[in-house]
Amino acid sequence: MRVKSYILILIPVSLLLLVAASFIYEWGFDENTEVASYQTNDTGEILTHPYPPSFDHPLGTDRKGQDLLLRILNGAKYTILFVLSVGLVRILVGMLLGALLTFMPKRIKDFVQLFLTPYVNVPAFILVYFLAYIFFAVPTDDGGLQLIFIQFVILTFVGVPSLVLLFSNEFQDGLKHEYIQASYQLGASKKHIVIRHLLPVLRNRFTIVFLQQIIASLILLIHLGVFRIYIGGQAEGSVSIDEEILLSKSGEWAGMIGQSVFDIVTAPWIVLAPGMAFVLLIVMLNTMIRLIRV
Amino acid sequence: MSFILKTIVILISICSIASLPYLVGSFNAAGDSFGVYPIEYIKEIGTTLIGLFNFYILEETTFDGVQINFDYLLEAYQYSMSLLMIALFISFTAVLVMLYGYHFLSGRMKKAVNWLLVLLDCIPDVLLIVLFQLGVIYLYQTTGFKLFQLYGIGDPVYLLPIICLSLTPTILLLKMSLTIKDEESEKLYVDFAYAKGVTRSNVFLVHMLRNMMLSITNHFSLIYWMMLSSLIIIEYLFVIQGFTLILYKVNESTLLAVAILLFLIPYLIMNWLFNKLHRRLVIDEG
Repeated sequence: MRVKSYILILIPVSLLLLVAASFIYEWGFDENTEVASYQTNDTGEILTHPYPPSFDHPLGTDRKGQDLLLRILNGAKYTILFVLSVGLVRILVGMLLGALLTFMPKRIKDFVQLFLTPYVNVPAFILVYFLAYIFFAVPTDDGGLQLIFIQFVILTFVGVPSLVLLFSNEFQDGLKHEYIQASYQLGASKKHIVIRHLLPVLRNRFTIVFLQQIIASLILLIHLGVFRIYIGGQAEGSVSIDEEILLSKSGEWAGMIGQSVFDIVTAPWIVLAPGMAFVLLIVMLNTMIRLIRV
Repeated sequence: MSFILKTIVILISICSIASLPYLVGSFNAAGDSFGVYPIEYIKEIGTTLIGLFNFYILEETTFDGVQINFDYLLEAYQYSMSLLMIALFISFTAVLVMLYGYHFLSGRMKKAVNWLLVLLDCIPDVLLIVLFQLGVIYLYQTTGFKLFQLYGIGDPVYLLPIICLSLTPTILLLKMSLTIKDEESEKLYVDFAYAKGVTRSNVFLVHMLRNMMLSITNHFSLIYWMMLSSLIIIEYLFVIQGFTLILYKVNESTLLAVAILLFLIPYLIMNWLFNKLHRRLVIDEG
């Protein structure tokens, strides 16, 4: 019992520390880190980038010679903060609309439920995939701020319809409790019922859904990354002129995976290092879900 | 609501998905701009809905230099869907076989298997596919044994995409099935069958499997849609000229609406089939 609550505190705190470290790194140390110098192997031959994992570079280097561990640290803040805010806004909007839908007349409710069925069934990735055209058309002259905003809005709202239906069902079930009937008879308003009676009961459930939404948006980011849709847009990142590699501008993890998916044959560590970071993050979130659920 | 009314609402809803690009951007000769355009969006939904009814005479659109007409779409659709269906079938069969094996494990091993699945479930499908490719290449490098043809330039490839496509659903379906299986094992009739002297294998094959089938197939709709997004990734990674790749960067609402409808067809058939199966297996016996 004690261990459980420790872990539940430990995981968010360590994620917070990671984000803080990521910010400190970018503000304080980023300029000091140099591109790894040339290394020679045992026979004295000069090796070219990317280097495999070694003692100097625990996770190896990428094609430009940057240390992958530092890149992951740098990208952590974008990745974590982005999915966190996507999950949070999804939950809040879903909760608000779900509560509204619960108190609608039955005919409207049935209609909305039927109308949203395709939105709920078709995976979020396919919805965003259909909108891919837009991400490539948005100009990024302003440092990609407009693009990030549009991406945030779209990624948030593709997840909302299923949450609206889910929460409306949860509220519906919650309304069946007897103490709510009693509260009604004592003259409570619908707003009072939702805020005072429904939300506290469903708090654990909401936390779980929130964590699940974060995982879902992480996976959505990887899928988009494979299609060269990066948060914050693309940046020219090729070492030589004859090959065209588009890098993720912000350096978030999903972009790191996406941009190097075809490197898997020549330098698997470029894909596997951010992949490991991803899996670790998902394992942490899943652990929290399991602990809350029990 | 009547059936016809329901169909119309669903059709409008599908058209509204397909027209979504028009809600957030306006594209014309004067240039692209972004914002919220509700009026143009509603207009586009109407156009899409009308376009849906005469899609087969739609003027041919080009995409990446490839002419897209109805025949081409149909061919690509057949190929993509056969990949998906075979993968679904393979993972279903694999899950059943593994479930049979799981039935004979000791309690400790069962726990270990469950933990392993929880961990595997944390790996995103893109990484699983990449890891699998890495494994195949490693096998080739060390033993010179060429297991699959890797990329789909030229002849359509089937084997590797299908295996990659069936990885994630197998893990997910197995994880769900194990929970169902563990719940089923608690039931009284299982103990009763053992007490009567029915062999362990027969208890599973004759009694439990039949009762569990419905709960397992219930998850198929979720898995079908999930596989669809994996299919998009796989067609891209393996350079397959499939159905979903045509939809990439396409700015043609009618085409997208038709695509969603085509995605729905296997889903509806599957649902209908399992409903029938359920009636035969459970209700008729009464």
